[in-house]
Amino acid sequence: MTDDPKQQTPAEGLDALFAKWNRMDEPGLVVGVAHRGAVIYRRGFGMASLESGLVNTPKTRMRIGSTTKHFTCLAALLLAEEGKLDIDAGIRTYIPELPAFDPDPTLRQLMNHTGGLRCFIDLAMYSSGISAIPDGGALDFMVRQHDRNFAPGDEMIYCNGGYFLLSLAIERVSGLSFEAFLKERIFLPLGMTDTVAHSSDLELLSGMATLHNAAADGSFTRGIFPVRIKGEGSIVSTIDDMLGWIRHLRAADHRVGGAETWRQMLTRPRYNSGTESNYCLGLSREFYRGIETIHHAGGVMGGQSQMLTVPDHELDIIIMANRSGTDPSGLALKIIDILLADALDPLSAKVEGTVGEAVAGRYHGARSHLLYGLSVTDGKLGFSLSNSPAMPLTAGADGAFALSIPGMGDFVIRANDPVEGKSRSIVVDYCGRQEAAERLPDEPPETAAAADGFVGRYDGPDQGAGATVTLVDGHLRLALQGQYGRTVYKLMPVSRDVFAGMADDPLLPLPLSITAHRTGGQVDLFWIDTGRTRHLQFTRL
Amino acid sequence: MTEDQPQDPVTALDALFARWNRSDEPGLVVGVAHRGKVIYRRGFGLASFESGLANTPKTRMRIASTTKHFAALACLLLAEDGKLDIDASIRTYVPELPALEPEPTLRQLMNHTGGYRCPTDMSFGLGEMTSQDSLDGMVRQTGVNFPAGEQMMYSNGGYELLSLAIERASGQGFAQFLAERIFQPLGMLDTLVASTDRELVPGIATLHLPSPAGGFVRGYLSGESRGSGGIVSTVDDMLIWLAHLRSAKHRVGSEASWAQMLTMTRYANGTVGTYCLGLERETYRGVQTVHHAGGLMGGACQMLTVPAEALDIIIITNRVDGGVNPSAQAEAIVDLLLAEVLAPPEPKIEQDTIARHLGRYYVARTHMLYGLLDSNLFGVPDGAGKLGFSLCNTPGIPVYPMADGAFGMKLSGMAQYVIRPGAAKDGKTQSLDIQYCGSHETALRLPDTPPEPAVAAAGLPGRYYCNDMDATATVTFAQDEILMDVRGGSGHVAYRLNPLTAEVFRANGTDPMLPLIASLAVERANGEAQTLWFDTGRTRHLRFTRL
Repeated sequence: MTDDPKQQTPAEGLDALFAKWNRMDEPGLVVGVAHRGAVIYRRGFGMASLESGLVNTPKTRMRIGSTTKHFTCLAALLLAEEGKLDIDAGIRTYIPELPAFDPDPTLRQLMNHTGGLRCFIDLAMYSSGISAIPDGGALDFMVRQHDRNFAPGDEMIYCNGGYFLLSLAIERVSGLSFEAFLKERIFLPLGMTDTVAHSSDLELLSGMATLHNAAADGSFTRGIFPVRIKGEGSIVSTIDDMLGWIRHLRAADHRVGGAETWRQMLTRPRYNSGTESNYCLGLSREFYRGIETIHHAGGVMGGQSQMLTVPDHELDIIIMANRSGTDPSGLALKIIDILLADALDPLSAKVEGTVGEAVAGRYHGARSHLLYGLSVTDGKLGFSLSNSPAMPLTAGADGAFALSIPGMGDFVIRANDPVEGKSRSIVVDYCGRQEAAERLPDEPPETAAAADGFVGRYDGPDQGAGATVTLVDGHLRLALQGQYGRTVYKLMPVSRDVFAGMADDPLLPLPLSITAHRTGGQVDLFWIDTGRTRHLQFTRL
Repeated sequence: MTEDQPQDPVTALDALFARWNRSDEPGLVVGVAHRGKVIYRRGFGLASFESGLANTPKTRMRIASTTKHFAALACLLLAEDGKLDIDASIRTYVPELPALEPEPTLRQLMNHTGGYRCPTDMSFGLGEMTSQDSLDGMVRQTGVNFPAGEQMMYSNGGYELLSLAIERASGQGFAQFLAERIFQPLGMLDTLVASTDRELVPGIATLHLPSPAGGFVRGYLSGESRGSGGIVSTVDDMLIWLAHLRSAKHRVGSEASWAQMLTMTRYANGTVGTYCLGLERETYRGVQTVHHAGGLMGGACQMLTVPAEALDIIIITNRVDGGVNPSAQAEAIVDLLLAEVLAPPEPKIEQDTIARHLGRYYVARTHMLYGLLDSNLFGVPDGAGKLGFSLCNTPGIPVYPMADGAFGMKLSGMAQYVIRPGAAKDGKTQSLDIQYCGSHETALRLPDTPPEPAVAAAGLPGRYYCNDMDATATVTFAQDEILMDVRGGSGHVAYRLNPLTAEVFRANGTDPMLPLIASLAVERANGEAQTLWFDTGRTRHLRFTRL
């Protein structure tokens, strides 16, 4: 083996890429690659379990997380082929207990995350932390909503709850459990005999890797998500099964699902604005260095995955990790770099947005209540949504800045001309929909001043949570008592009525923003916004 | 092999455990030493349904509550160093605890006579308990189960407080203290404290609970457990430990410390119980045994030694179904190996059902609900027709006859109950005298026919708060069913309330995977319930007040 990448065989190149996980004191990952019809690489790295002492092998079963989603879409389409399900019908056709919003999101909109319904996982996590949700609790969350994130088709917000509803519709229409339907209709016909929908980390499956959460000090703890999951992310598979699946996915003729079904699976939807989304039915279609890829990633507590295919080059990649912190999506792109070097466009230098201080600041969305942050670090412009960590912006056309957040639509941000060296407002274009956001004061008010009239107890029926705002020793805090647990947030005033919050738990640092509504100085209601949940209303008790 | 040829011990032990010698289900590990020699060390079944690895003598297993006497010894080691006084109040070391007179000493927490309520018991179904949550739960108590020293009630929370005292007195973590002061000096190199099931321990068996849908689910407790049950060990290490425990000269712990470890508890009224410091001393077929069992989600353990015969037994399981019962199987090993020195087995006489005694009995002053029931505990045929004793709505636990028409009931980790039926009227016993730890109370028969739910539910629906549990209860009445939903820190438990009278209810958790049991007493004013008293086997007099 040589260190010169040009003289390495592809297998040597891949071995080098994954060498850092080739060790027996840490969990790792499994990798499968097929190229032009031949499986050229299948290897396990690291330990399948720090408990058992078994190593990862190509036969090790791993969770693929959200890479499950397109299987769920296909399952729904198989029922549509039989005339049992209409994926352009409203979801209430199948789950009438859901609240009546107008219009009702269609199954297809839930599949491409444009349905606009709030997600039970986000609602539960923000109020109860990572807590067990009993069976039935997920639907209860979806049913108790009085409002939604947006009208169907307006925007895209990744929504696991939508896929939970799709699973329920599949069960009701087919009369089979989601797990049994996938087994009978997809896994067995395709010979994916090691693949199962496995809905709980508390149930034991032979040959499955232990999930490992990496801690900052280099140690690992067991990854357990104590919530039963279905079509949003429950599949367990092997690299051999997944390579068989990807080959079938990009085949001209499909053994499972008709040609029209598969055309729909890979059709880019359009938002109401007419802008096209690259998120199809549980699958993303994107260009990388001039070639088109189809892919979907997954993440669970203590595990990650990326499935990617380059149909034009018959290159199929599956990476599944039984630990956090491996970046399978980035690794899949590096495999493309190694194997398709000759066919790829040059790596375009990533132009990051650089701009003076004019645009830096906090802005408040007039329509959405969202808190937008623009910050400059090392001369690079970053974008933050509802107090999230800043994400780098790239320079777009006409002095605009662009950002693509996985699982969301594209953002384009335009700053208006500065007055006295500061932009007074920005225009945020999201999914082809614009809103103006006014600059908030650069100097936030004193905490005590902003807390005046805010402290007290509130009820948030959509979250099924009680909220208590307190000011103790100068610290403003929001405590949410949810259905299944409790969370506490530190609140920092950004203006008198806008607050940036961060969960007071280093293991689960959830960001949020709050917009307060005052009557006569007293806050009578406020809204919480998170990355995946919008204008969640709390009313003073 | 023929039946009249005596089996060698190994063959006999193999036969005892043969039913778990299979490769498709979890099982157990067994170690036996006799007269200074390890004569048996074997694993049976799968260490993990997930990995497919087999149980071996090297498999690490959770010993659960068998941890407790290690925690007691750790306190005594610090006492030898002059850093801890085990007869001082626990508030000397954990001053944030509420001042509830009399304050329990560390020794009383060790023998479960401290009387503090146990946050673990109160939190069942309400979510995970970190050590901090457990302490917070202790700190908020305004009442106790009983005054310190008066009786015995098994308390995991007491051992968590001891763990905290050990950490504060030693300046070390509990796990580190045990490793440095006990495990390493004795060469127990595979033994450690792993306080949550989130920790990954190389070589540990997976814990298995039977799934109602068939197969197994992971036994998983996300809460923290240190001195109450955090130790992971192997049969080899536990045999080392047992040999040391019963030795005449100890390498860890002074002889004075070990004398205290094995001193039986004397309650305030002078009665003596079998529980020592995290260890029990009992006589079995004429031989003295020292033992302690353990149980957790998906596993169980029994450690037993017969010091006079130098017989040491450790059995640890990674399942709880399929007939595993380490305490009974340890006794079966004693039967096999000490056949020649044992007294004839005392026939285990379970009291036949006596129809006139059957019924529920209640003490209004203490809200204690007792019962004499048919003890067909698990629907097994041979359990039918036997009299069982119930407290706080538990199923009937078989009783044995004692002198003068009384009955006894004794479970591991409890003192003995003596139940003496009073006079009968119309062919029904009207009262029971209940004696526990030397103190008495009289329970009066409740009517055999309960009131209609609608009658019993009158004035009951509404919301209540319990400070000591930090939980809100919502009582509803619909479709002839009274439900009590208890919502605490991070979860909730629904109980079905079954009336016995309009004032006394049996409370049964509705989750079949967590069949919690309690009794409830209602106090009304002007027809509306104002106070609910909630009692369980290990928690007494929890007061819910109407909001």
